[in-house]
Amino acid sequence: MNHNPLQLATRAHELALRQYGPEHPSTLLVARNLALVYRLQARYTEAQPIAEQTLQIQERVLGLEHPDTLKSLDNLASLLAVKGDPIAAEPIYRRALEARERVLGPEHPDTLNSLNNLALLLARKGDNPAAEPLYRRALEVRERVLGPEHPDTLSVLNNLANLLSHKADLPAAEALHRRVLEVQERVLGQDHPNTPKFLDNLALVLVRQGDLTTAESLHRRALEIGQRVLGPDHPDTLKTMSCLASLLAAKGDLVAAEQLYRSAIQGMVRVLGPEHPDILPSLNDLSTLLANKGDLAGALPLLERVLQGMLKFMGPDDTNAEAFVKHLASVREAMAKIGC
Amino acid sequence: MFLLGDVFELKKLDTQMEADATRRVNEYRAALDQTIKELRTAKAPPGCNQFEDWVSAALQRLLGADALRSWRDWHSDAEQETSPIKAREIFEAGLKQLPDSPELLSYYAVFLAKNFGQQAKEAA
Repeated sequence: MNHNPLQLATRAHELALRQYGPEHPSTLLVARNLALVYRLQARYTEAQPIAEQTLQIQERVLGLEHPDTLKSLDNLASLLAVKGDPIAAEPIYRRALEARERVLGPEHPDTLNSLNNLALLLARKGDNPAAEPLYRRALEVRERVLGPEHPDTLSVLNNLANLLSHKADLPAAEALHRRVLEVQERVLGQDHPNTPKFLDNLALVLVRQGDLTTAESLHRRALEIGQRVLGPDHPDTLKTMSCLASLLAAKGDLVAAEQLYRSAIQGMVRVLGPEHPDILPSLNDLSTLLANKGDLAGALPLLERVLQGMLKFMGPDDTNAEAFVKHLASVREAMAKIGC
Repeated sequence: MFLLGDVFELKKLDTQMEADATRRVNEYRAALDQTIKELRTAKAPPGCNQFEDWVSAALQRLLGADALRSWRDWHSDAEQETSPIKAREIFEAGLKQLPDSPELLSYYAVFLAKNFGQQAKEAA
């Protein structure tokens, strides 16, 4: 049997077109899954037109509030979010959540997916007070309905642990990350695509508590599994590489850290495009490393790119925008002084 | 003089084939009689509350347990399984039964992309 997801999804779409025709609900479901497979393989450019076209037909054929239409709406928002366009994603997530709560009810698995996805987006924007109650609501229902070891429960638990870590509640974050990792490895296996992410998250909390040795071994395990299971160019593997670079920099191994940062950034630019927001933390870290080495001519242009990127994704109402504009002006002034 | 069939034991083979066919026909007839009897007496077997369940159970007995399962049944069973290995086995069993189901095939593709990542990508 063929096990290539993209080939299977493409064949399924061809079969559906032949069996049902282009606007049949089943064909639209299969088309949505094709877009999802492209997204899961980080092929966002190919995923987006299929996702948009499918949604458009579903809205016309099935109606705006049909559960299938709402699933496609939520999937499109997720695609925009991973593509690095949170401003476009947020209103779509909100529309999907509001309609699902009304049409499917507050405890339906699809409603909980919307809740988790919106919370993730808000947390990434730094709006933890808005994200936390959404995570807790999704977690409470998933634990009760799906059980504590279901992958969807683990996913929301992992997101909540990340949020607690950002709030500097490190012991609570560490306990949750350990619980997630233990269940993940026991139930889904060490070679599951989510395992590297969960290893990295635990390592990041340990770094913040000063345990660099354990953190390094976790990052190295995550990198090994990621390269093997997800592939060396997958965004998650490149993120792991950047995490390991940060750790090496913290340990003082600046040469190895710089090399890893550059490989990770190069890969991210190639896979995600040069303006994707996920590249900004790595660029920022590399800029700091170069500045610490005294290489201002290398550091400042990177910092300029980071600030420009941050401003682009902040949105017009962000209260931090003014401060970032000032930082950007200072950086440009410094660049002019040293002639770069 | 001897018969060619005796040398090659053709008569025995014929007898065996006829016996096998008769056995299969009798089994089929017994299952059909049982179904007709149930339908006549209109009494659902234990565990079948709905008429549809009852007819479905009777037909499954005739045609085999998996014959009437839809892609939704296979997909739902796979979704409920937490072990990716077991879920994969369920998908593959479903696709043996329904090899041309676009829906099941596409959900299997999503499942592989989510759970097996690069390994699935390379296993073409």
